[in-house]
Amino acid sequence: MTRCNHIESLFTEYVSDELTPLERAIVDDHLAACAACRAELALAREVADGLASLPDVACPDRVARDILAAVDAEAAGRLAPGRRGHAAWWRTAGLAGTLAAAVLLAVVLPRRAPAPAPVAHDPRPDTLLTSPAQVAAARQELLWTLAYTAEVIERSEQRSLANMWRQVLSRTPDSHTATIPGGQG
Amino acid sequence: MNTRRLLPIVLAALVLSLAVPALAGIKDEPGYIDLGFIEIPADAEEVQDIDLTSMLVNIADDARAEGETELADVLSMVRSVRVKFFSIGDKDDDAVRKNVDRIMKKLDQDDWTRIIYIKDGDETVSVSTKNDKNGVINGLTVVVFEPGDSAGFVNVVGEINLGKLITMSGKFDFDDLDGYMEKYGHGEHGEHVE
Repeated sequence: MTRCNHIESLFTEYVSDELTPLERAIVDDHLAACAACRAELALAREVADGLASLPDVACPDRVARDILAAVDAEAAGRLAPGRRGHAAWWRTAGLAGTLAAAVLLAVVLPRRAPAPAPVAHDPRPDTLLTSPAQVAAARQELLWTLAYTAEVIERSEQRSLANMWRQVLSRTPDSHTATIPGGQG
Repeated sequence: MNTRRLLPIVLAALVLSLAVPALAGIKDEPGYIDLGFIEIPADAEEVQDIDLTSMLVNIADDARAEGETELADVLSMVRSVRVKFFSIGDKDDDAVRKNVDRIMKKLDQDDWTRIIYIKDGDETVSVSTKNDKNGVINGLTVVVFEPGDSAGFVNVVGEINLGKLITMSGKFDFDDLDGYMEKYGHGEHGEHVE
């Protein structure tokens, strides 16, 4: 998913003021520099306004169940990439640390010199005497931290969205039942 | 003891005299959370124990020298980055859970703002910020606890431009790392696959 795609996926909640302060800050920061996304946001506002003008329609039970199943499958798939267990992505983040930092250095932040080889992550005593190798190693650790933090936030967003849908859809059958004339169902 | 042998000792003492007050100052920062009490299990298979408190200036200088002004700017106001991430076995869960509870309690006591919080059984994911009265973020703390799998603790101290930090972090897509890991021969559990 590109950065623009990720930002656009938040527009619905952005327009309806349902984003967390963090998410809003992310979107605002991106919008400030991206005219294409500002145009998309304007379109999203038009759609939201149009949808808001439509009358409420009760969701049939079968549709709710199908959507709920799809949401669960999607969430399970996202949280369990490949064949790994549901928590394996956290593990992967840690395992990938050294390699990730080296790869990210090479791919995301190109250096004039080749990226240094991964280093062992032994706790290092604080010191002000630093060599270029130490700075390079520290930079790798910083990039790992950034990537790990971003991963935590992104995965949390996905889980929050899945949980929100689960809660919304779990309420739908009751609402639907309550609206059936004569109290059937 | 001749001068040649004495000089390194004098320099080391000088460095320590400069470094210790600086590090002590970090602990007084509102965005500081003590991670020192968290003991990494001796049998942890994967560990990231990171403390960049004294290295950030060097990293920022290095980044700026290479024209990476975005990274340098973000780092310019950050004073400390500390991480403890480690795998855990089932027998470690209770000890780690106590550490998680202790930090979460500390965050509540010190009026941190939870911007992300997921609690699913014992599984905990929390991202919190420490804001001053003007809304400026002076600290960021991440707590992740996956019982029987792993735990991660991150504390960033200093004035943080969260939007820019996350935007920049967003460039680092860990989904892609699966491919990188396979490409570079790392298996699921971190072992190197020949």
